[in-house]
Amino acid sequence: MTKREFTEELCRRLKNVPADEANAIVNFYVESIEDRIEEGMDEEAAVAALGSIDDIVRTTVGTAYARPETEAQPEERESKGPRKRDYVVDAGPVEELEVQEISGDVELEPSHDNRIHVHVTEGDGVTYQVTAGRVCRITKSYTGKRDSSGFYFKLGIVMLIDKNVGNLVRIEIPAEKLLTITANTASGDFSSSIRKALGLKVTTGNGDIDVEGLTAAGELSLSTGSGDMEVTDCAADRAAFRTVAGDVELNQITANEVTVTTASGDVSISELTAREFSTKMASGDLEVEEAYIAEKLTAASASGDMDISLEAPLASGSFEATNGDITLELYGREEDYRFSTRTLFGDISCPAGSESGAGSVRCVTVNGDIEVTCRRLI
Amino acid sequence: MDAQLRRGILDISVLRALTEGDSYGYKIIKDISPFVTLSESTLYPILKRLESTGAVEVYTVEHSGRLRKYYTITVKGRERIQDFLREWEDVMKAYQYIKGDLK
Repeated sequence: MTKREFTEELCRRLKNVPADEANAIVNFYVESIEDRIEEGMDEEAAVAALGSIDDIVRTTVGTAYARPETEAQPEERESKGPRKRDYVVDAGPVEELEVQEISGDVELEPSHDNRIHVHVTEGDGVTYQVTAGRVCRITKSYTGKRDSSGFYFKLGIVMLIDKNVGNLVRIEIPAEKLLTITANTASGDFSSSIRKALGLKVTTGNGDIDVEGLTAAGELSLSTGSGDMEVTDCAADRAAFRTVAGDVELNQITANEVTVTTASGDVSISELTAREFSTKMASGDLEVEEAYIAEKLTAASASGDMDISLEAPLASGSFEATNGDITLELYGREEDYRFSTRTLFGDISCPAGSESGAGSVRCVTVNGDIEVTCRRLI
Repeated sequence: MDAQLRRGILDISVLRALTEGDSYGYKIIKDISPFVTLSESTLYPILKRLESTGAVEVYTVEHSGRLRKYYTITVKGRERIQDFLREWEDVMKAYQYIKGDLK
């Protein structure tokens, strides 16, 4: 790389840094290049001696705050009412995205350019901080003291936070950028329409979670207290879905390992492709249709019903329901399976199977009925 | 090395280099390189931090047709070195104790 190429690339990477600071940074590095050349080093070597531009950007502006691109009204500190802001972050050095919300919704969507845009509404009592660098961290803060009722105190005066302020963080991420994303919100909803990520981990208190069309190279982990979850057309290495009281609806999910855990929510799954699938539920119902599970399926429920229909031969299945019924439709001939069924008070309807069957299926209930059928191959 | 510890040591090393006389980016790196490895991308935030805390001052000099930024250590900067040395006396005492214990 020549000095000129280096300068142009560095300027490009620093375009979100205030102009005088960017100039100071560029001049600092150019000075070192020229000093090395003066000492007899050739130009390319002098540039190479500085290390990678990624490192330069990371260390020199890594701790600086991203600059809001819009609305730089000087009197804003004292202005009243909500202010929409767009924080712009150079996506280059960012590896992790972290969102810490409290009451607002969080939305992820593809960016229209190569930068990360964070859209928020700030106002009296609420501001956001957005860091640039390796970690892009978005943190909401209440500038006044706030009590649980939503009031906050400023100079001893009680004020109410405008309901249009701090109610949504909308983040645009460049389509090809692979990030490890963590998002937390207590009472807000989460939704994502981005196509790719290294990993996505979401926790909400009572907000709903809605994810569509995402391929995660690593883990997809979604967790909510009382919110509902709807996940459509997603792929991941490992996928984990947890709710306490909310319902879970999964459509077109592909992953190596899938786990679903609920206390009282219902779970409805269609078009699931997984090597291993396991679910643990307390009182909700489980409905699975069009599932391709290659190796292992484990389902346990305390009082919910299970209705499972498979589209591929199963190697190993274990179904336990204490008070609920188990209805299972397997793929293949009955001779393909070894069955083991047990109930204390329920009725059992299950084919005889064969001792030489490749797949093993075990069903256990206390009070529930067991019904197993095999669909013949066409 | 712990990042904060390393940062503290680097700050003082740069200040120490400036006690030999005013200097500029590349020369600082060369001067302290026998003792401390330092790259431009590490030096830049250090100089900025030292400048914003008043430990160094900056002025520009013309040098063979271009501008060069020189850094000069302030009284405050010299005090930082003294504070560091005093603190490290305690650290060294602890170091001797820890090392002695491990025979």
